[in-house]
Amino acid sequence: MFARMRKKPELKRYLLRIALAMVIYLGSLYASEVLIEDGGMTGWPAFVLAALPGLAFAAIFWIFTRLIIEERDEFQRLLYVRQMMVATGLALTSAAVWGFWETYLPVGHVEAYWWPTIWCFGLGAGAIFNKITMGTAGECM
Amino acid sequence: MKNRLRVLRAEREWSQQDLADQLDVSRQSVNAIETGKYDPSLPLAFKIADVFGLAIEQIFLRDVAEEAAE
Repeated sequence: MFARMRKKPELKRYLLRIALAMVIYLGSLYASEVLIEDGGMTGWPAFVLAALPGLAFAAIFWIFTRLIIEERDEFQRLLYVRQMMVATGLALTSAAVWGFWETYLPVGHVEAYWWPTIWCFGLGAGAIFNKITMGTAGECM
Repeated sequence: MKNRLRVLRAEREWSQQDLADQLDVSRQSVNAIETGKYDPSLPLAFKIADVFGLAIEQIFLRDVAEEAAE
């Protein structure tokens, strides 16, 4: 896998973008803890700072979409799209079902940022789905 | 859609990776096309035809059921 990744600039860009998004995510999460939770920051700077971890997380959608656009191998592109569809189905179904459970049953509240997290895990589930149905999980997951 | 990719490749003693390299696609792509799990786009089908020096219809065959329906 890594030998081929060295040859594929689109995969290099994908991993670089993921790494950059994670650095911004962790940095802004730490800053939010220190400045808002501990430091008592309020007002619009707090809103902007608290939005940054979410925006960094949301960048994952853009990054994966860019991978699909930049991938030159059409079969690999199909695998990525199928992964994305499985991930989206799992995340949205989980959010919809849990939302109604929260409304009608005594279940705990789930913070909204868990739904995009489930989407990321869904990419892994999509790779397994590809492996079972297409015989290969592709090269990125 | 059925195809004669595996036979044509075997005649030339090419591995899946050899063909993949000539087509600038992954080995998995060649395998998926050979096993009928994936039908290539028209541009890739033309590229495959060029590599083998054949016409597209000499490589890709319509399903019998499709022909019977016509």
